[in-house]
Amino acid sequence: MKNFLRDHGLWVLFAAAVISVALAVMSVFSTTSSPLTNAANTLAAPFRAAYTAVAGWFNDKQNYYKDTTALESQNEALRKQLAEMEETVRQAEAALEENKLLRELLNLREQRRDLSDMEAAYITEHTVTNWTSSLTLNKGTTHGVEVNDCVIDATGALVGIVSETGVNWSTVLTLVDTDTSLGAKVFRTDDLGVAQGDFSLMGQGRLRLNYLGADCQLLGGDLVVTSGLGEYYPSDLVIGSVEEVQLDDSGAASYAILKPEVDFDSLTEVFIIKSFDIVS
Amino acid sequence: MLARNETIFKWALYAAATALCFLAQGAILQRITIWGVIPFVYPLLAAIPASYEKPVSAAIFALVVGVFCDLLLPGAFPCFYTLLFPLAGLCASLLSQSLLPAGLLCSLSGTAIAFLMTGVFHCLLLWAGGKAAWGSGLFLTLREFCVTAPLTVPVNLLYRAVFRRTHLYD
Repeated sequence: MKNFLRDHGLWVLFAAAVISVALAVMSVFSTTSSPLTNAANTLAAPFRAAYTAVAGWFNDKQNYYKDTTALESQNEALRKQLAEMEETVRQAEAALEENKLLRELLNLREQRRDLSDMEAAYITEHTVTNWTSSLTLNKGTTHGVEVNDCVIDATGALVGIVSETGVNWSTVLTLVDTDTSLGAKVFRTDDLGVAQGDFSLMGQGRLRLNYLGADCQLLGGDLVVTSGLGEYYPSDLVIGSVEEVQLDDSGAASYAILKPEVDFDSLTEVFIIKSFDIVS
Repeated sequence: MLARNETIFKWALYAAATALCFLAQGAILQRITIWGVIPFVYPLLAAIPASYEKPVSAAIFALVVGVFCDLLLPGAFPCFYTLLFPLAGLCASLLSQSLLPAGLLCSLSGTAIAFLMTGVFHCLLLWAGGKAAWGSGLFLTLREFCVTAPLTVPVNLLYRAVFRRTHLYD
């Protein structure tokens, strides 16, 4: 190679100069690109197309990845937003429930100003044995609930008496339970008696109003309320209505069968009377 | 004669089976009313495992079931089941040891005795409280037994499985 350039270098330089001049002259007089340029670009065109295609493919992949990542993060954000909104809806539903309960409580408080301190509670369990009629509530000693507190429904009708309390629960014996006994009065006639659960009537959801005078003039449908005598329970809480009146075995007194105002099976929420004012 | 760890394992299995029955009563059975009564599985838990065991163990196990029942169930008499269930367990165990071999029939008989004892004792308490209701009480006992008796089959199978699992070489 060294010898070739040394021997023919001058000729090579001369040939290159001639070709250059010829190309320059041809490009001046030609209306299109020079044949060499044309040939070079024609040869390069497929390669150019190929690497453009490859670059395009990579570009597409990159854009796809970018889009997917963006969509995933957007999806994640939307999911989070949806979960937050669902949580808000749940809280709103709970607040609505509570609001309804508090409105009822407020309404009851306005009707019965003597019931100074009441606690709203939900029923967590209905009767658990066939020998008692009881309810379990979700409020207990931490809420100030005590044994012998009266329990009423949203209309102010008596449900029963608290028989047991724990930290966050209490058991209520309903009006029809055999261990329930409270002073009662017939609203229309002011006849006094004792409303007591009777085992034979418990299954039918009824109770007895005992110790009425033999000559009492009760009618079916007469309203029976708590007497409040002895100041043990609040007065004028509705117990139920008279269904029938019968003479007892001795014939010296009569008793009435009462239908409670409350439907114990359908109850879901109640109010516990924690303290009350004595109305004279 | 079982080794101490086998004995512990056996009673742990009995306790687990009993807990399962308590759960079934609380979650399902007490929400069902048939013929005016809810199925009442607790007397079965005193009688059926007792029919597979010796009298003393049976009475102790039934006593523990009774204590739990008294803790969980409302009632006027605070140790009603604690007093009654050991007797029911003892009866069921003696029955299986002397008259009927442990099995479904023995479990059913033990359960009937347990329900009868529970019902009579309830009626006695009502009578003592001046609210005698023998007719209604015994009729309720009969309905309670009839409604709960079909449950003797699964409960017996459960306790029999525990007994067989823990007495492989007997």
